Amino acid sequence: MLRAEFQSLVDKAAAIDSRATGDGVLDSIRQLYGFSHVAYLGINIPGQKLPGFYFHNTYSDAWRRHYLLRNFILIDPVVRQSCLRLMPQDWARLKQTHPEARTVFHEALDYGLHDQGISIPVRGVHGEIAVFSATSDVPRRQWLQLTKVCTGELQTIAAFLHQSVLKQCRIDIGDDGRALSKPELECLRWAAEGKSAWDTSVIIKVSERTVKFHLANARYKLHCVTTTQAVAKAITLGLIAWP
Amino acid sequence: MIRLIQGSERRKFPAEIEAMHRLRAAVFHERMAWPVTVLDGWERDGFDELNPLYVLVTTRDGTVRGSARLLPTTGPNMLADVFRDLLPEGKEVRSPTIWESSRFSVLHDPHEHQVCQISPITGELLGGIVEVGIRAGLEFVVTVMDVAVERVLRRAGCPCDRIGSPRRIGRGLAVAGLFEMTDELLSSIRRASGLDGSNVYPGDAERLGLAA
Repeated sequence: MLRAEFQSLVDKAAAIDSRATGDGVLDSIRQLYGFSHVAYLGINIPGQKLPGFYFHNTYSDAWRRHYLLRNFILIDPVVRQSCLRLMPQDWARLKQTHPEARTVFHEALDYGLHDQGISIPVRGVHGEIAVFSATSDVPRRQWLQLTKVCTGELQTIAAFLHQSVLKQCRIDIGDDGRALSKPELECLRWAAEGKSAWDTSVIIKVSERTVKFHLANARYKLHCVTTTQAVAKAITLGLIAWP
Repeated sequence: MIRLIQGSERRKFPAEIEAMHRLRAAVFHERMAWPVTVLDGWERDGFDELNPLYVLVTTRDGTVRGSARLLPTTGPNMLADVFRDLLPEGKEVRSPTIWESSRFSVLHDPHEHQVCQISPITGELLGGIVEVGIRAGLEFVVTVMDVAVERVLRRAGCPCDRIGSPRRIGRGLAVAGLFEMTDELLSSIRRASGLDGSNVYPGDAERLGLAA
């Protein structure tokens, strides 16, 4: 996806403040990547009513009702394996290795859903787990190519969605800049002066790779998707001075 | 051969897991004299309970000769919780596209004559980590490593940047460093260690949900 589109998308994910805006963002994700559906599932969000599940997806009400009625959360391999694994899960593999869970996939087809998908496990600082899934009906080869290219972006989207859910659940995600380090602030300061990562690397005498690394951390900690936003937020929070 | 095993599966792979913990004891306790806990010959710590992804290198007869442990930096990890003083003051590494590699252990065969810049086991283990990183869509992997390992990698043209100052740990100096997950790094590692290509055990790829 084009960098600008991706940034705008994650920006929206970071700004979710209600289920309504969240629905809009999920739909944007779906459209921009050409997915048929996307779904976020929080597994053990602190403070949520037991068992701590938080569903937010583009599925139909009919499927959601059916899923709950059939208690699929207990046998859905997507949920189980995402709790148990770190790597992104390919649904084709899940069906292969969990034949007993085929029921879920079969019945999903009855509701017009597709059984080709990818799930990204999310791990949080409070030990919470979530999973972000995307499904598609494009030909397999195209799907493999798409997922190969966009897994990193999906990791970022998943994490920002998760952070927004925590925020909505009134859980502190620490995006007030308290976790920023001196090198990160320094890189943000030079970015505020209009310096590129390369310029900054020359000035502070580290590799360009290291500057990018510091900025990647700074962006995530400030819950921002672009360096420009992170700079603006850092200034607003009083962490760096106006250039 | 690269084996991938999740912490949650340790009971399914008792031989590999045992060999890994013993290898870690040999490297971190006996060789490097790091302040680690060894019980009944196993080196094990709290991060093993967080369901990490273990990357192992096994030889043809199944012997575990190398191992490392991966954790996402969005959750608890060693750099955040144990090695804080190896990072610049107040620095915390946290990003959905950065994982941490820890307990990197390699047991060299003293009879093996090394012709490449990086030993095949080290190269295979590093290559395995980078391959996992690329598949997971990561930008970087961070790690605490011995400066001797850092030197070997630099000389072999495998770029690795320091993100902190070296500190004495045990018998040597350790430093926090970062690797960018690129195809170029993977090629460099394979070239420098004389490896052909991916060698992930197909059963693990299938079981862990990696796309075919």
